[in-house]
Amino acid sequence: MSAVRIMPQRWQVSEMNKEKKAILKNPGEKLLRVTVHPDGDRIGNVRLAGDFFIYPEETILDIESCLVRLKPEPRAIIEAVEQVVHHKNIQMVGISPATIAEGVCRAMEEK
Amino acid sequence: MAVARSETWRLIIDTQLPGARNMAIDHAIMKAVADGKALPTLRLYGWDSPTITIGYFPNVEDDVYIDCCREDGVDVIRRITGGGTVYHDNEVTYSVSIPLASAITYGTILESYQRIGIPIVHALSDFGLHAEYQPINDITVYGKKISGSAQTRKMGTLLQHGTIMVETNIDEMFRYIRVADEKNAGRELAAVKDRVVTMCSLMAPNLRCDHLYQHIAAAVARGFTKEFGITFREESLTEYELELAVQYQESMFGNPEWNLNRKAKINLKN
Repeated sequence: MSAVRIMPQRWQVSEMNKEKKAILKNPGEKLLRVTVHPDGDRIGNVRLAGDFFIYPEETILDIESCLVRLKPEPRAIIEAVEQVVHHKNIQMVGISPATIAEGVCRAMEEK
Repeated sequence: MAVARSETWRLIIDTQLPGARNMAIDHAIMKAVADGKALPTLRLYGWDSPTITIGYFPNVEDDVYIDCCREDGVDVIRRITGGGTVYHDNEVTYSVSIPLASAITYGTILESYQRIGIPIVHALSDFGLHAEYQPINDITVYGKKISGSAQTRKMGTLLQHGTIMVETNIDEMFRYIRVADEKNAGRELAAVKDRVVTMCSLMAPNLRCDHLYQHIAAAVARGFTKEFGITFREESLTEYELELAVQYQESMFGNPEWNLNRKAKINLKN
């Protein structure tokens, strides 16, 4: 697993709501595509896509929802996703909370 | 490893059908098994024309050259299973619908992928091909992918469907499917194409899928018998399943809203 970078907190006003994307494929995992609409310096709407497996599949919406309004900080994202995973009894194959955090933070860093 | 020596399953050997119909039938069988209205079922089927299925999670625009598909009449169907985007053409496809209480499903999800993959490995060995299961969901011959699978678990039931590439046109596959650079690991398209392989190219290029289809279907069933001691009863779909399949085809797999948009809200009676 590669290290997760902390995003810079300063944003240009013109870029604040621009759709931002990241794509990553960590060893042993599946491809993850992240699309984020930043809400100021926080995470806005998120879409996670890729060839991974999440059981039950519909809970991807719960995972995406739990990220909204979070700061793009890996630890906060991992904790939020793990809480949903535990609460909804979700199983992940080819993707992990840490990979989601890495993908979302990378997307938020996109210029 | 035999884990279920006394189980009797239903065997359905279908013909080549449209993509939306195939996905609707798999969904209907899963529901019937969940409702206790059908035996655990192994179904084998083909596709009446080249078709793309896309997993539950990808964006169509990321994975598919949709304009090429429209021009050439290649249907794009979203599955209820996760996983990636698959080009179906001259292949044998299998689906397994079994209760989660079945001995085959014990352990982790990853272990169940492997367990269901082993009968496919046996089937390929019947044709002299030395195949291996490769986590998470692939089967390879000489390191090249020949079979992939995807699994969902709903209603206390497991559905896994998977491909066996028999005479698939690999060049055509990449005319319709986009492969992300991150997945290529910097390889050229030719090298990406070289990572997949078909039965016919390994056995004899003059073989045809049509000629092998029934033999492969029978070999897959034998693989389940060999690995798990399953006894098969060859039967057709029930009226209940046929009605469900019509409903699923209309509401989901034949509906662009479902196929093109993961977040589509589909209202089903069942």
